[in-house]
Amino acid sequence: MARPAVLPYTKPVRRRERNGELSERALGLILLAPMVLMLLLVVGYPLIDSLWLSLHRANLASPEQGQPFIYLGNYIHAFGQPAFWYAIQRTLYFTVISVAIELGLGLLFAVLLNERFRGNLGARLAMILPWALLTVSNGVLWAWILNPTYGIFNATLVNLGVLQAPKSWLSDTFWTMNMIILADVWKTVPNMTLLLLAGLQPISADLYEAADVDGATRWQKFTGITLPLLRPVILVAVALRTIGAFRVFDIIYVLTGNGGPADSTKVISFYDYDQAFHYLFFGYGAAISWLITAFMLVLIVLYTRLLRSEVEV
Amino acid sequence: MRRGNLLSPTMRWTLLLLYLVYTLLPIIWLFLSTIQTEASLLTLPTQIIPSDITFRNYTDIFKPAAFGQNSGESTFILALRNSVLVCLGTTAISMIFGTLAAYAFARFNIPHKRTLLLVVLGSQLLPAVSIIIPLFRMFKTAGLLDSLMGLILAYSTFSMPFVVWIMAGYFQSVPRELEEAARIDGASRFQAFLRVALPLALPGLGATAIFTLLNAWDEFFFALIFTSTYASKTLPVALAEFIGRHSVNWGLLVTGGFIASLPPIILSLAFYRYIVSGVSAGGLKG
Amino acid sequence: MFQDNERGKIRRRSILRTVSRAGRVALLGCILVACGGTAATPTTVPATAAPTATAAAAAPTATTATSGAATATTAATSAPTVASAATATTEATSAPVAGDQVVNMLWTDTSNLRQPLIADFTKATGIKVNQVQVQYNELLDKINTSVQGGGDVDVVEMDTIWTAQFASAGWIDDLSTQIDDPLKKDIPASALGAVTYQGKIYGMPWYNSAKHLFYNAKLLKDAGFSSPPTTLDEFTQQAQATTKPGHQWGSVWGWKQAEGLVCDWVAIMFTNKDAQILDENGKAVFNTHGGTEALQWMVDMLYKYKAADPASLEYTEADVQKAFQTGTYALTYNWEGDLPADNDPTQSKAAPNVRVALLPGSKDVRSSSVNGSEGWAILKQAKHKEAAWKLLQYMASPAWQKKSAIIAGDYPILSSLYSDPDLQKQVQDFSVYGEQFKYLAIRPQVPGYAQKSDIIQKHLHEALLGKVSPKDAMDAAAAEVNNASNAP
Repeated sequence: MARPAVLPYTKPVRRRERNGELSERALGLILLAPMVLMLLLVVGYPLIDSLWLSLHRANLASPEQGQPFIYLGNYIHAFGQPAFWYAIQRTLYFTVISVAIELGLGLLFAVLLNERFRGNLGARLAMILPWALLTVSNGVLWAWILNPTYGIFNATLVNLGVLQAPKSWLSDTFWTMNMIILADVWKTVPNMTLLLLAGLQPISADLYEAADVDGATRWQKFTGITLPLLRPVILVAVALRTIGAFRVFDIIYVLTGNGGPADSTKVISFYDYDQAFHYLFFGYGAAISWLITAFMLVLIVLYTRLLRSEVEV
Repeated sequence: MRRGNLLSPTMRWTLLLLYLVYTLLPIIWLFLSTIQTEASLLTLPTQIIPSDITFRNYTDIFKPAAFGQNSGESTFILALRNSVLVCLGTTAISMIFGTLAAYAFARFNIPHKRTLLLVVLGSQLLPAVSIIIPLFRMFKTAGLLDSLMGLILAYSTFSMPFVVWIMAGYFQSVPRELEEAARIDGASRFQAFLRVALPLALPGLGATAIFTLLNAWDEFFFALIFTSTYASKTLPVALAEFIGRHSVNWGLLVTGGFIASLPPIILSLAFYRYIVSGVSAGGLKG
Repeated sequence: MFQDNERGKIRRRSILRTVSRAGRVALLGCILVACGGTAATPTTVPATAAPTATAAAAAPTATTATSGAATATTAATSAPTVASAATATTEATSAPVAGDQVVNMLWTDTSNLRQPLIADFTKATGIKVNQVQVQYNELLDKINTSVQGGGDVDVVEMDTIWTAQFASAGWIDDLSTQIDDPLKKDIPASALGAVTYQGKIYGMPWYNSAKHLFYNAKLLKDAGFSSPPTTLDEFTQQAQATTKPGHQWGSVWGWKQAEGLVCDWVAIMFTNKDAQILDENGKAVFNTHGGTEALQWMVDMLYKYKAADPASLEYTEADVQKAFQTGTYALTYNWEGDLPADNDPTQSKAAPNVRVALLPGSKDVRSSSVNGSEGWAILKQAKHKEAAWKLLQYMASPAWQKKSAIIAGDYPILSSLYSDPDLQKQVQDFSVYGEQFKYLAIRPQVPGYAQKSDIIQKHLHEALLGKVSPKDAMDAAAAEVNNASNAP
């Protein structure tokens, strides 16, 4: 403590070198290398290749055109396409509505599961079932539930007198997207609930007891204690779920097959998929991919900012 | 001591009931649909309790004639096999490389450590669609399209960063002193990692491995585009194809969906706590 | 302590503390699994990832040629553990499978109706067929990725609308010289035209195909009609008369936003003798040449006459067939080949009342249908061309064509089979099938058709949903189609 400047000259360092062991730094880099190289190969390089490709005309269905460099042609084309903007609009609709519902239900369920009661663990485990279901199986399940002829959804609504006759939910430009949101939210609410529950648990019961002494109502306790303390967690959870919702594809593919009816469920991932793998416009598809990536990066940076103070390394 | 205190007993039980109905009803309906004959499923008006209970779907689905066949083998089994291999491969590769890197992050002086770690986290959150086209081109050149190895590489784009992110934090929470003690006893730096740090980090490794398995099992987008034949088609792709089939057999389809979900459901229930930690740490599933 | 709790943020440490409380015994098992994966992967994966030229795709998918069907079934029912999968792979790789002994094909026999034909082929030639079956609406995407290097596919099913695309992009072999003249002469123009582009034959015709009118004779009779409609007006009238709200619909259609929708629209459109889709310069003119009227009729069926089940908007042709088999629909447009199943009492409540007839026409046109003939193409990159060619030859042989007409209802591509007495006897209403082929409209055979069709589908669907008027939908579709070629 008295002479810290001497520390670099203490023996352990020398001993290591004498033993022929690698220096700290070298060993650290060696341990890091496989992961970094692999990510550079499968994420880093593709991102750059994609950017380069997006500046070319690359219509694989017309090989005779070659792959000329066209500067920002693909991006300009995208901005001029009503279909592109419509896909963005449908994606935002899906994202905003589903994250909002998830947050509402998630809060409700997290508060419930944070209470102490018999069978609490059982109730928590129940939540895992929809969460663990395969996304594709979830699509299968809802396709079956919503089947116009044999589906239980129609049968129930007709029995309750809500509907006169069975309705085909997946052929209506308004209802299809909302039904997909219903199906998707059912599976993703547990995600939100778990995130919020993790934030609720550290809130001390003493705070509520103190509020009880002051004669606060339940609602006052919720808005005065729970919500403010949970705010950072809610922000992180919403950011994370927004990132998750924006990439939606699987469930739409399974339930509609083509982003129909009338493209009302053709979200941006689906639009990109069509351009690249249905029409083989690889250059244009890469441009759309990059637009998606850029937007996602904004979200991701926002998310990491929210986490930043918590990163302890 | 009571926790929460936000709900009155009435509110609590009402909410609990609603919660259970909301969460479990679709799953129960799925299960009920798997144990009926096709005729019973297609009976109108729709019946809640099946009149005709059978478990035939569960055996039929493994028969080549029912779900689809490829050279005499059931495509369901082929897809199941591919799914298992891809998941294990992805988990193994991501765990090995990811854990090594995580340890480096936690214990060594890495330049720009914090930024690097956030970049790794970011790459986990990038959607598949961001890199699918260049990956497709790359795999085409390398001959990795329609192969399990290609899928494993593609899946490690999201699973490896996740391993690094979680395990770096975990190694931090393991006290350094034990490793230092081992070094004094003559162990090398790497031996200290293998014999001291790694065993102490086992629970973290378990949580991460399970989460990686589940994510790989669920993956659809890469598999849809990179696979063409049953050399590599995974269960989600096989199921998605079955749904659009001519004269689709709903009984088999829901059974396929249910069976495909059983491994993740069982794993998640058994390792509930791990799931919680995985989700909380920002693991994306679904 | 309060301070700490109040922050209430996600703390990784606290989360991880939770983790560490979990049982370690179970965990060990988990790690073992991961280790097992490590051990197994390197041995199995490379084998499948890098198929050798000889073993090809047979390695991961197939049991060896020598193992009989019985063995295959046993293997298939055993649990798919890592170990067993690994052994299976090794076996397949090491077995001496010659390149000629296997062929990989991509097609849509999703109902498995034609599997006996494949078995016959293998029996006759010893060549094993590895099949990938996808539904029609996914087929083009799969062919695209296969052509671009995904998977080891030799033979692909090719719809008439793709021939131009595949041929102009150089993806498939020119078979003009390989198909001999007597065979060419025996194949009707509709089937041969489906695989021809700029005078060259790029595929082997598989079946002749057209939409037909299927009707439930009992329901029509109950409503007082002794014969099916011959014009669109009669169709409307009969459909209205057979619609009983809540129980029964006069008609059902495959009007999901897909290619089938375009097919119906084209068939209806060409009841107008002046109908035209693209002009001679490739410019879309359908909005002013019959397309708008056809769409108007379709919209009217749904909303004005209320004689079409609204679920039609969600149905593909397969769903339509399934619906028709409930026996509660009187009329439908669908592809040939549905009859055997529709009149099979184990599958269909409509049995035995389903009959087939010419699609309706108008006062100028006797009948109007659409050519849906398909063929087979051999990919340029195919590794098993010899076996692929044998398969194509077999598919065009009377052995396949006749049996397939009987078991799958496929309309043969060999003119000589039209007069076959066995077929006349075994296939109900066989003569009608022949008749319909005289009245076929053809969808444009141009490269880039897929995108043009998608645009048309979207606008048709919007009008059918009542979002826009038929005229606006058609004008917008034509403008967009003409603009589509400008895509970078």
